[in-house]
Amino acid sequence: MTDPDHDFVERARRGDLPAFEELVRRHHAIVLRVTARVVGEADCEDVTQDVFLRAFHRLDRFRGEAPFRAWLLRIAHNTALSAASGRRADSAPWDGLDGPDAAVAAGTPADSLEGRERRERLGVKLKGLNPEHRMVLVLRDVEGLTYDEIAEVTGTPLGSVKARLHRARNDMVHALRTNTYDWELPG
Amino acid sequence: MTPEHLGPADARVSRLLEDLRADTPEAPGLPESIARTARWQAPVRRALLRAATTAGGLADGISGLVRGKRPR
Repeated sequence: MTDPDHDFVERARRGDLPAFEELVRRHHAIVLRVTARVVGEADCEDVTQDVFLRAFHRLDRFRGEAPFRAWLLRIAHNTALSAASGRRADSAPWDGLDGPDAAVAAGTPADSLEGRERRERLGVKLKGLNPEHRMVLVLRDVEGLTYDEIAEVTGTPLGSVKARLHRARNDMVHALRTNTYDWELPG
Repeated sequence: MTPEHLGPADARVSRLLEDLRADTPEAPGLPESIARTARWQAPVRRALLRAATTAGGLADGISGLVRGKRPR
């Protein structure tokens, strides 16, 4: 399959900054979401900036063997886990509780409020997983990457990705079962 | 997503997590900020790389001269 970013990557490698800016516009949201789940909302903007600048300076090393998005997410994965390991103790991964629209949530329809509350609670539970497990779960279930893409992003063999994902889902099911909120989990 | 066979509870977790894609942290001006930083870093990096290459060349040259003058 042709990489939809191919032309922009080639132009950016030749020093075309508007082409690089287009790549940033295309992918900054997914990088923000993935890094926020690992380093927290307070730090995800800085980490995202760091990810893109690292990518920019390493474009000459990008061989095109994997799609640009997977290559970029690999940088995001490494940068976020590295930042998380050196993170301040008072900075927690994003659970959505301080989300941007929290303040304006009042006044939105009941369904929307309920959905938001559910996502916030889910974010708290996700935060309880270890960072590597959380990462594969976010890449797979939140962002919809394939196993192959996750293996590329995390630099992990396919079998280990599947095992890690299985373990992460089990942990998540267990976390949701030990909760008063009704997650409508089948027995 | 590629199809996979999940148990009922795993499938429910997977569906719940899919909803989190709607929550992207707001970062107004971030793409522009990254682009601005890349713009000023690009020429600086090129200059630093040129300087490093020149310094490497000089070091090689001096090292060659010193080796050449060393008494045998």
